[in-house]
Amino acid sequence: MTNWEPVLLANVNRPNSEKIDTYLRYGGYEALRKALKMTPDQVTAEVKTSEIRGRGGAGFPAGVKWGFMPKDAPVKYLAINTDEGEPGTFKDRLIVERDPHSILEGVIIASYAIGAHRAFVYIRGEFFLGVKRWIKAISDAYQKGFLGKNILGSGFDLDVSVHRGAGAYICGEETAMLESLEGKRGVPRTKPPFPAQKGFWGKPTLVQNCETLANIPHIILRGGKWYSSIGTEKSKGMKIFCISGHVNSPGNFELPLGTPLKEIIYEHAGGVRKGRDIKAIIPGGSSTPFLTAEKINTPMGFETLQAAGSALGTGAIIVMDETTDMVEVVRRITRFYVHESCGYCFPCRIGGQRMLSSLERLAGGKGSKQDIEDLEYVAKGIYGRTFCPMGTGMAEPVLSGLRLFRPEFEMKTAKN
Amino acid sequence: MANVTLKINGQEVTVENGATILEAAKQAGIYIPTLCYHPWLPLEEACRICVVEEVRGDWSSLAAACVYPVRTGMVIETDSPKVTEARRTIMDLLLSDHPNDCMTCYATGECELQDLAHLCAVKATKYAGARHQYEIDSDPNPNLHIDMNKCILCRRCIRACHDIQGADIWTKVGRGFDQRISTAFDLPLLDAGCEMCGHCADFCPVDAIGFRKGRGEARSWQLHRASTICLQCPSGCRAEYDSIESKIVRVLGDFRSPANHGALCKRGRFNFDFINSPDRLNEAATRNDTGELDGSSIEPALETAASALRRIRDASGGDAIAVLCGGMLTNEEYYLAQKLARCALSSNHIDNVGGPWQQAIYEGLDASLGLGAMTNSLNDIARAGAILALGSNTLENHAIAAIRARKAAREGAPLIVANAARVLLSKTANLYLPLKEGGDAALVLGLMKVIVEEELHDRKFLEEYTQDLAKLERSLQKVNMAEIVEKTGLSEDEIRSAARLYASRRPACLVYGVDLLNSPTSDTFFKMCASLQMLLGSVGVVGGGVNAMGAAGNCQGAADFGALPKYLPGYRPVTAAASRKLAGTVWGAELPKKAGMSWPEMLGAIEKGEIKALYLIGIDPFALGLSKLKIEGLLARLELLIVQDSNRTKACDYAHVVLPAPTFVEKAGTATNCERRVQRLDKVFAPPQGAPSDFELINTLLGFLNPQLQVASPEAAFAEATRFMSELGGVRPEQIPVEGLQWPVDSQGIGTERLPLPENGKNKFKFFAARL
Ligand SMILES: Cc1cc2nc3c(=O)[nH]c(=O)nc-3n(C[C@H](O)[C@H](O)[C@H](O)COP(=O)(O)O)c2cc1C
Ligand code: SF4
Ligand code: SF4
Ligand code: SF4
Ligand code: SF4
Ligand code: FES
Repeated sequence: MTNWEPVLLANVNRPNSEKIDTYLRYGGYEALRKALKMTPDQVTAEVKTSEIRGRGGAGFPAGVKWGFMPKDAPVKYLAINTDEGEPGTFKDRLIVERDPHSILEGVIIASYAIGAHRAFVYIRGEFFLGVKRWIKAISDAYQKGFLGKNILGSGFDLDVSVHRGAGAYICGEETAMLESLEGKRGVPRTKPPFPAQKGFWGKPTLVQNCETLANIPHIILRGGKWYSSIGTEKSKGMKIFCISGHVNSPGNFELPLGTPLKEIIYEHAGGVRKGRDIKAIIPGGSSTPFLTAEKINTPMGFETLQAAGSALGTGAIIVMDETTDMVEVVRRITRFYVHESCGYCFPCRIGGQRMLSSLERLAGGKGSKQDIEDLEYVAKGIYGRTFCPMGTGMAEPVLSGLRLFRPEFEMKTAKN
Repeated sequence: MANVTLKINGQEVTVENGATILEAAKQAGIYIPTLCYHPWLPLEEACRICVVEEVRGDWSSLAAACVYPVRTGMVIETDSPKVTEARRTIMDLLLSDHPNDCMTCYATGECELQDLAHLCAVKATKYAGARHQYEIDSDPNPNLHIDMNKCILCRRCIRACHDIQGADIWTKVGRGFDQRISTAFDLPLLDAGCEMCGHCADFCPVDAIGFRKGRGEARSWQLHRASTICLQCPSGCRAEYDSIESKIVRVLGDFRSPANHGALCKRGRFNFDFINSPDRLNEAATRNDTGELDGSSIEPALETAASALRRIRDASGGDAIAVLCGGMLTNEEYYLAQKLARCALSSNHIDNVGGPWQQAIYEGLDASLGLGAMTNSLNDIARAGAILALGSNTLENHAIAAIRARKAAREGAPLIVANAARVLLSKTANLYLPLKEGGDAALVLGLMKVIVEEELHDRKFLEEYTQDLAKLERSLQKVNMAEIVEKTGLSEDEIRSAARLYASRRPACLVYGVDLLNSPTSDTFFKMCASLQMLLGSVGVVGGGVNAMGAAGNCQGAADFGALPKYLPGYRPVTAAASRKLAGTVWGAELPKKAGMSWPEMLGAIEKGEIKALYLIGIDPFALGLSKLKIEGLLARLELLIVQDSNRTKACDYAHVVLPAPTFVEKAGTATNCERRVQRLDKVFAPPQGAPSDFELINTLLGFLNPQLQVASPEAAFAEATRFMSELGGVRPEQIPVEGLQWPVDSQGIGTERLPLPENGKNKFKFFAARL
């Protein structure tokens, strides 16, 4: 087992890690000082060099996104996505609760780079402690002159405020988040225009996940080259992997991208409970397709997981051992998405409910072959055809479940 | 704008940059089915029925054609297996939560869901599982039938209610599968503030929000549809009338006229019972010696009327006769009525219900701006920078202007409503001024005073485009603020902040709807309205102007075509020798030299016994806002009362001759709305028993009095009228396109959307001295 020096989680286990003094004691806000001496373009260039890709699920190259922000727009915004709703994912929560300043420093640097003077934190409503920590971090940063007018004498101004969600998974989708931030019902927007063109209140807005932002200070301090030296060809840098399910020590582990699944499960997470075999792994949060145990050597990277038939998503690994009822797993995941469907578009709104009905019958032993057919038909009908990616995310577990574990579904219909 | 070339189904298409795939396909004549999309509503991208395949080399993805912008080199397939499959699934899913009740459904035959199911060859599915069960006919309102079981959640209703009406009544409740359309707190529509415009029903693609009328009576294919102009208010909306056996069943917006672009108001939409009414007059009548009304056929009744009129004219002179028209006649009928009065009866006492105000609007605005009617277009109001709504209860009486004002307000225009009553539009207003009744003129002066004092005016505009500003400024100094406060019932502070707000964003847009009871009939008032707008640099520009709207249906046309006591058609003063000379040439008749009486003056003259005969054409004197007792007294004094109307009114009790007439939907001709838009009316159905129109009735009367004055047809009347009216540029009625033509029309037949700015320092807008 390679033990990597933690970067993002370096602070989290220190006493009083959330305090600004702790953060400062270990070199906090040095990156900000450095960035403010660079030009905004140089900052963006460094982020581009790092090749860091978004950690919120979609994996879009952050530097490229910053480059999309129009230079001449008078008003621009940064929105920080702390909605973390994808089942299996609990990394943002850890950083926000234990090391909020690491994100905030990234926020200030990103705002400086794109020329935003106003940033909004959107945080999942259930993160009570996270909300408190965000607010405290922001007010302390104001006190120390890291926020407000003329930050550290640089002439750069920035205000940040915190906004709580009200319990809707869809509000993690960037445009639904902007709607919600504007005080409206959380439903996605038509794209294009993308937020970088027309975002919050119609102004260019950069939406970034908080783990992504927490990387920024390190990229600035140590350089983009350093960052891109870590990881695989298309997946650079350190990543917090959340492991849950049938492992002996679930939790967050920070490792370089490209670390094989097997190493994470067996060396970091202590292996499968009771020494059982693995039946299925969800590698990137519940909307990413299942993998079977054969794929255990897959490196945890964007391109490598895609080649294996799944996706890195949020990097949330859920391990299921040989005793797991896969029909029940698919039913449970689908129930989540159906409950969270915003209802905006037809395929997701009705299709989700139809899939769930079939799954409920199957899982309850009352299903028929027709249910399996319907399930597949509807899942294919939803896949790639919805207004926002959530519908596709809802179809993924069903489709991959049927692809990999069809006999289990068929077994359930044996009696009927 | 740059062009973009792409390929749709192998066919090259070049469209403007920014077009959607749907628009590009339409241009290429390729059909893409849609459901939530509506060309007159904001995009929603909810149904995804419109998905098409975008091919990129060896992979492809699906994009919603209704929203997805085109790119150069794009390759689109609209009927590939992938697309058909996607469409089918969505239809499958939709029908899986739908009553599929087509055989008894009101919408059958005109339902977009049904059509699409047919197109995709999808049957109601077998999916077992949750289905929604809502109460059928769940709302007690009188006009709309609500059955949310049939709702497909396209949310057109929400968008129509928001974007067109600005009422925001419908909303989505719940999420996911349980999402449904409802009102705030699930209140009944009317309690939730519904304005009963009916747009939601008009736009609903299925029978979820439908019209009550006709339900269980008619199937869609039995309905006869025809389009004409609504004459129930001066907006002149184009509407489609669905009827069965000469009974109107429902009224739908017609998108082709820019006057309304498919919008209608409550009255235009639902007030058609008078057309279907059992109280329709269907027989002529004359009063016999014992004082009873005897039924009669039309010709003899007209003959009786003609001889009675002749007798009074010969005995007491033309000045003893007056003709008063309502607001729902055609231009040609007004023209003929004034010709009858002036030539056959030797009387200039010809007026229409909105005449006194129309005359004031003309005189005031013509003197100030050189265009004697609404300066801009109804559409322009939506582009206003700031709005002041004065006069009528705008949403009730001039609804299209009101909803356009709300649209501008949504885009950030401050909206000020000044009215004695807290009218509905004030709900959306940034500032409501509780104006004393009759305080309009004082308020306008007060605003000008503040604007000049605080130098909120547009110096450059004033210099370049106006004259005689000093006259106004001098006179304003003499206007006493205390008096303005007294007359408006507002505090000085209120007036000042209103002026500041109104001047805060350009162009300022004045919306003035005439109110039959309270509006001033003086030209000075409209001169002051023009002055206010000039001060703010907001005349002759898009989104600004003096948007004065008359009192009733076609009273703009009535005024234009000469149904005014002072003016011949084309606003030629009857007192001017030149006008009378022209009349002599065209009509071969000599006209009385003196201007006639307006209708309030006529009533006075009846009281004094000076007017002995009154010919009422499509007007109920009991609906003029005067006391019933007074009208009864007046009518009883008349030697001759001719009542020509579509419906039985109380005036019939006093009439010597009663003549049945068709309603506006049963007539052909032209009408002119408040924005000077001349539009063509077509018969929705023939009047009962082929009864003659007002035009034919008046024409027959002319035949009895002086056959030479008869006009062969409404078209001929229009042509004759244009000899007086340079504004119409010699256009023929059959040349008027379906969207209408706004006068002044130039020699090329091009109309005028809005008053232009004066060019080369000539014909500058003019200020006049202010008077309280
Ligand atoms: C249904 C849905 C839910 C999402 N939820 C989250 C979330 O909770 N947190 C998050 O950071 N991104 C979430 N995303 C991704 C965001 O849309 C967006 O891509 C991300 O915030 C961008 O930040 P990044 O580039 O730093 O990853 C979600 C996306 C979808 C489609
Ligand atoms: S796929 Fe459609 S219904 Fe589902 S969450 Fe996205 S927009 Fe809402
Ligand atoms: S709304 Fe349309 S599809 Fe539905 S029952 Fe009526 S006609 Fe049939
Ligand atoms: S009520 Fe009609 S218009 Fe409104 S969402 Fe339902 S189907 Fe669409
Ligand atoms: S009738 Fe008009 S105001 Fe009422 S809900 Fe429908 S669209 Fe809105
Ligand atoms: S018509 Fe395009 S999404 Fe509904």
